[in-house]
Amino acid sequence: MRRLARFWPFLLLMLLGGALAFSLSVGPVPLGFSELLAILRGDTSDPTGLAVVYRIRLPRSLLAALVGAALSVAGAAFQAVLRNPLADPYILGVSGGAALGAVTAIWLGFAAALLLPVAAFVGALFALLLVYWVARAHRGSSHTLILCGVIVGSLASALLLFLLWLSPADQTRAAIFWLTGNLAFADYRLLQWIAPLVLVAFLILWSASRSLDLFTQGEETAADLGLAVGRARLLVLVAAGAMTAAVVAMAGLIGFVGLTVPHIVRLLLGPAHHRLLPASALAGATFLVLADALSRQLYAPAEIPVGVVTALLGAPFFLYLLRAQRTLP
Amino acid sequence: MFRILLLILLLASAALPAGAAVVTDALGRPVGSERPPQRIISLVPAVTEILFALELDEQLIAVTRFCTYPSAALAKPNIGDYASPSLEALAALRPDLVIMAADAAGPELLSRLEMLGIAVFVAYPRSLTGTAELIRTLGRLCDRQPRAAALAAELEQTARCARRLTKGHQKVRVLATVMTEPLVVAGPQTLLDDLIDIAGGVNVVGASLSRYPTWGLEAVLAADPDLILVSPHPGQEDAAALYRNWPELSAVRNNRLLSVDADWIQRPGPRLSLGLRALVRGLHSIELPQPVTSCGG
Amino acid sequence: MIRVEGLQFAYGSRPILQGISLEVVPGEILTVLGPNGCGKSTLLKLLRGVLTPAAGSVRWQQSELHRLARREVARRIAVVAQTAEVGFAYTVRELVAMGRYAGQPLFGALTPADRSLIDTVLQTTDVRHLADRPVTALSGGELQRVMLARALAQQTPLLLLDEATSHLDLIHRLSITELLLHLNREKATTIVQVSHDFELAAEMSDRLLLLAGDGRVAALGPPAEVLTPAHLHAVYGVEAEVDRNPHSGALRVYPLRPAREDGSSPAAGKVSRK
Repeated sequence: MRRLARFWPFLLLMLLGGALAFSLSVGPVPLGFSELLAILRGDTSDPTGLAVVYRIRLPRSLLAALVGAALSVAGAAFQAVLRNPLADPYILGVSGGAALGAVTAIWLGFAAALLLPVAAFVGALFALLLVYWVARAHRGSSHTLILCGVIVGSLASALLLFLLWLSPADQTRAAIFWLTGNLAFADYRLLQWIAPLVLVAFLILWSASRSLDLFTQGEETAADLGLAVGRARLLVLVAAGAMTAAVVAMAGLIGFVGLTVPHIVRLLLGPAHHRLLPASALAGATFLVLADALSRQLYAPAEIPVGVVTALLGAPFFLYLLRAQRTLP
Repeated sequence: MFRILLLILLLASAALPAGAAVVTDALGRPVGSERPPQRIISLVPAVTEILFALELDEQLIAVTRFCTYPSAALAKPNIGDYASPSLEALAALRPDLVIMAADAAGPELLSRLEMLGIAVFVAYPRSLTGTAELIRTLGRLCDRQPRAAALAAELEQTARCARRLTKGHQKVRVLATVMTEPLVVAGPQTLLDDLIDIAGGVNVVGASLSRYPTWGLEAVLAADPDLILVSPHPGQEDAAALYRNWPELSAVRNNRLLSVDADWIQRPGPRLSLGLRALVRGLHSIELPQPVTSCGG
Repeated sequence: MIRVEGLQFAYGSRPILQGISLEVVPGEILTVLGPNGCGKSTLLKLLRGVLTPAAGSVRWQQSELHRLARREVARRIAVVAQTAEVGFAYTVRELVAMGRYAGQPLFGALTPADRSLIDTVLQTTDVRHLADRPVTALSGGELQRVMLARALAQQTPLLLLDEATSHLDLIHRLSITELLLHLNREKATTIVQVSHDFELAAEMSDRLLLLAGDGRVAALGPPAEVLTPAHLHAVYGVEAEVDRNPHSGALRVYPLRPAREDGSSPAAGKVSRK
């Protein structure tokens, strides 16, 4: 497996390219490969084909790639800094905060498409900072952070349920569907805002790779090796948290990607973060693009929730790897 | 099934006082009493409408917070949600009949109400005919047979009239949008599907995993319906606005986005005739006669 | 090297260390002994500035250690602790490379000099053949050598060992001890360690620090002056004999029986020292 170490960037880029090509070529509107190429080259006048590729499939695939990459990178970072294999990007109350923010906006009647993500982002960051602020009184140890995250998450869910209970039925339904995760609302305007944010957060985390490596050794050892634990942790939490908040704001809560993709990559490429983070980004992007394509294709023209596909694809593969790993030297 | 039939026969053959009726609900359960129910709670907005239309407003003692029509329903005590009403508030009102919907409220609610010793009628109409039947059944159960018969007949006559007048016209391929975020559409075996069929249309949504599947816009482009039915709910984004961004759709180019009040076409109640009129008008530019009996048939 | 003056420390209202003054002399091996819970590990944490003294000071030259940036401390002091488990499957080489963190610029990568240094410490600690193995697949003895290699990669003048070998088999303990002595003699690495093994400590150390159960210094000095029956009685509550191996001249400690205190049973006396 470790032989992968040499050519993984090439391999993962190929896989992502393949997944994007697949995602662009499947859907209820039948488009042959040659038609697809013609549309991509620009020598076609078929308005439906152009609309399908440029206004539906491409933004959606790009959103899936961005969300998958961000969730996987944030998951890897949270798992290292909290030293907890069960950590996922939503662990520190980010999901609850985002949901509460979004539903508050729906409840207040701000149905405008662009306002919902902003409200979700604000809610997520607010929850994260609340968790950090409380946990800091206890030197911000990972147990305290996780505990605070769970409590803040529960508080947010309770407020959320209360708001849903107060809302008329139709608003409630919209909110609940939004919470289950959805890539259908891909929009270039949103992508323009979110993509740079995710990229900057990724670069911050990547440049902190060695801090993350040290965090895996426990906070005391990390400090002995020269890490300013408090400052490094704040940096990682804010970068990974903002990244998560941004994609939750766009696509709702998509489970399973942020938890498992980092584990899978770690099993294949080892835990060193200078490699784990970019590899998780590519693998996560590939994974979600593929899952989204399948969610559109399996029961076309109906779509199944992408979270179902991520779990159905990811869980067996993950279990297989775990099982196989035992027999490796 | 056989045992239930036997039970119904037994019950029916027993000597019952005048005014008593035993009916069978959507789950095949016999529901009945010695005298017509005097304290009814409706957990179904459409049933609330039917009960008001049957002039049972005095017997109707409580409704859900979703029962918004007629406006007199808003004045009734409200016992919360249709899926999880407040059982305590419900029991405290001492109802002698609770009417719930099979799809909205689960079997747990039914068994808990039964445990409280409250008579429950389960309604589950998925078509216009089913709605007419429900009206008749409720009429029998609540001793309002003549009025119910008239109401049901009006529905059925409207349907017959719609079928007759649209016969021979080119079928219109229709997509019925239920909500936009995500895009949920009405599939077969739904009330909307039935209404589209009656109004001389064809639902472009085929059989699927779900009666109300989620679609992407690409699926809409692929189906390219002649007409798109939107039924805006207050507080939700207007589906018509979503579609207007897509001039690739024939329905948009030909300005065939039809907006009909959701309550007229999604609630299996007396206002279905209004919904059906609006559909026939939108699909074929045909005005059903008023009164509908003048249509003949 | 490190000067400790009038050091006090408490967890909450429970005093752990009281009135400790000592100086770590460059080039020495100093072993801290004492009963369980007397604050040996706490003292080591204070020596590397992880904890802040309640009173008194712990200084490296002029600077108080707990005020120094962690990078600065990590360039002066490396630590090997008792390793319970390693969760993440880094290779041995990657783990040892973590020792270079404090020596590199914040966003720099490993330089060729770093790499050859890592090779050297892998060699020194005799784990070079394991370099590409995941640390999760190592035995306890191998893992502890790797941890030592990581500490050596920090290239510090001072090494702190917190019971780094106490859970290892005798053979691994001896081989790591040999390695430490070698480092001390060849590289003049100063070593401060916490140990439970009187005889090994006496054998390898220049000085011993014996802490009493109440966190005060019971004795500080050359092994022969610290390991006396009187000190062992006072600190551990045991009657012991101390003599020298006639062949090697090493100190040997024979605990005989719990000391009888007035009115208390031997068993109670033993337990009360916990």
